[in-house]
Amino acid sequence: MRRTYAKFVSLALIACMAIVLAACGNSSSNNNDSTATGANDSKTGATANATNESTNDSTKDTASSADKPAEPVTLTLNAQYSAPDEKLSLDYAIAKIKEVLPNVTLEIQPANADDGTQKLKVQAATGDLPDIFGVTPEIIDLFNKSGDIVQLDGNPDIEDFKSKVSPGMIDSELMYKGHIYALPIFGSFSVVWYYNKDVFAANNVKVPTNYDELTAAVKAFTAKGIVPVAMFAKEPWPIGAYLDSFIMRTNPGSTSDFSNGVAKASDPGYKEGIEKAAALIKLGIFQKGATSTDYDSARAIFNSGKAAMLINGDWETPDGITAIGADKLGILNYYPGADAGKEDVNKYAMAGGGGVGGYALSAKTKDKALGMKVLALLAYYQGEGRYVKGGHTDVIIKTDGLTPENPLPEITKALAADQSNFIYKSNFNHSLPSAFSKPFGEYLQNLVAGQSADKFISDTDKLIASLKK
Amino acid sequence: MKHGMASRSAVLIFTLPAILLFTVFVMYPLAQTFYRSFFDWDGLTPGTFIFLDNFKEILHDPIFYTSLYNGLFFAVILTIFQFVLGSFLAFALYDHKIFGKKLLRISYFIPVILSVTVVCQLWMSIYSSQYGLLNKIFESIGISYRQDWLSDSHLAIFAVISVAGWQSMGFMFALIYTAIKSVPEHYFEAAKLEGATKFQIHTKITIPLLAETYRMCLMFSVVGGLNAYGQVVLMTNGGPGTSTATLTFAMFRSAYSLDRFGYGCATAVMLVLECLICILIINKLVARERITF
Repeated sequence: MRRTYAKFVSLALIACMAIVLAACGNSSSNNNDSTATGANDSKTGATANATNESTNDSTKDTASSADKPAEPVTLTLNAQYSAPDEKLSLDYAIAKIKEVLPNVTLEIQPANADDGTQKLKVQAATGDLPDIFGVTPEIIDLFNKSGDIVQLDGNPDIEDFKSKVSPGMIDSELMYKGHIYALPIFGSFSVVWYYNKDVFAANNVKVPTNYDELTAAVKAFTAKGIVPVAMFAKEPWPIGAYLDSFIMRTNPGSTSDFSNGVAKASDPGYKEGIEKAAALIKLGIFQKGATSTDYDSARAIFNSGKAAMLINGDWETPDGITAIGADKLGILNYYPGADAGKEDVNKYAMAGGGGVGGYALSAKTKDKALGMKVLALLAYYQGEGRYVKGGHTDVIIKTDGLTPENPLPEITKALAADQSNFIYKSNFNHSLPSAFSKPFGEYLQNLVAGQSADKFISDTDKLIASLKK
Repeated sequence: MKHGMASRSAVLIFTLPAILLFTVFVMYPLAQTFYRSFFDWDGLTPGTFIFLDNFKEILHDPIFYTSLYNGLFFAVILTIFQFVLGSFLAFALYDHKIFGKKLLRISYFIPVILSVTVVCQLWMSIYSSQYGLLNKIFESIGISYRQDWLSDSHLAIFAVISVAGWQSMGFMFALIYTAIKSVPEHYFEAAKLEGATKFQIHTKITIPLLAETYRMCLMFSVVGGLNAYGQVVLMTNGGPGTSTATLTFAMFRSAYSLDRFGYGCATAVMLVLECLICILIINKLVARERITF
């Protein structure tokens, strides 16, 4: 009985081993196949390319395997996909990619509007990065060091994309430390002060052109229970841009100078700007609860007519027009932070800026050749969608031959006309090194929460000094 | 002898899975956290051994002290909130004359089963300075007490703690209520025969007999307060500035916002030590004698 039992168990174990080994063998063979696919130019990509020769130049050299049907491929994409404007351009790009590569499906993982980089860092640490994701220079440095990002130089699809980029933007927006790590959609953004013409007219308030007029407008609106400026101070960058609106009118530099130790908050010009900004905060320029107000909520306050002004990037224009109408939405010609009579000083200095960033490819993506092809198509077509569908002029690609579906709004045209005069000496808080931007963002929130300008200046100076060590 | 060995083997066999799971999911990460706290590490690359430098830096970091204070404050207020309200409701519901006991019991427990995200969204809209219910209530009864609940550096921590207390109070209520129900009825009957009032019965009999339950509740609320994170990150993200940061939040901030995982691990070690000290003190001082009915 015992022997029979032993034999039975032995046979069962041998059978299990055989099944396991067979499964391993099969898996290994699959791996080899997929490795070969990845190492050479992907069969799936090549097939898809060949079927779309007429629509994409980069497909011409890979038509040999067109007779074999392409296997379906799903790539994960971490991208901004919450505002209507973001959805419009990304949906456009995905539809275009589907035409070129019908076998490729892009699965969107919407990025957090507040701080998407945290999620990416966790995903990198757990080896779970999406195939394609949006990056900042800081993330490029971090992931390049850890080997989580693909260097894109030399790939024909990437070179093809590069040839479609406006020449003036290649060095400033595409190349980073001599290499290409990410493909951007847009160039420099301008942070502008939008205003609701109706709200100003209905309350008989003059649209401000200098600090005195702005102070008068803030007093007039707060007295009538209207929010002078809707602010989403849950994120630090709009507060930084607000501060820059004052600093840059008296000083060619900006808060970005603090991050690299070029200037201190207590330096002349900077200090006055901070004090002006803080004085208006005390007067109630922002709505109550600004530091817990997010992007969408602040826009809703402005769009509903409960706020007279909104500080945001110029990407807001199409959504703003949709919400309140082209005839009601205005942009202040320049920041109203200058003293009376000095309105023309530094009037083209703009908060915002741009720089390197955009979509990058994970080093762990299975088929890098296909990944780069999709990356190039995505960056190009999202830029095209942004211009054609959204009417944005801030795209990095050449727009010759492209026509926006709707005529460009007058305020966009006016902004675009001044574009060549604009001087960008600032940057978004989240684009600065995190060792500076995180604590500085917290100080900015403290300022909005009512902390004194002196405390803000002393905290910032201490931070600058600590980073110099 | 043989029986003893077999018993030991059985104990080993039955406890091994639990020990293995505990080691893999608790002890190993804890050991890793201690080990990594000695490194200058960004979470992705190998890192550099710097021994105690992270701890030296923590002792000079103002956010550490803000977080330490907030955590302790959180624990104290949460404990008072949960103990006082939880006990009051449990004692009130134990009274036989209360109508609709089942409905009340369920409604007190509902916040516990709600997701922290849902609860925070709900309270954020109640706290909203612009359209919030709380300010509207003050307005409607003619009190000009409109507050910037979540954006005021001093008020925000109270607002967050209240939400945490509101959500977890039902759990404490359930524990205390169950413990009261487990006290033999004849103790109360004897007291009644002796002419004791309800207040006297609860203060002289019920509460002393619940000492062990209260010790457990105390541990839960103190550790829960020190570890507070969900409500903080969802409602204020530690702000305005760092005014509502707790040690757990500071740990996350260092690791994921500043890419300083080594420093974040050192903060976590401080948090673990803080919790251990609090538990040791509670065990040493509260309900040391075992109560049997």
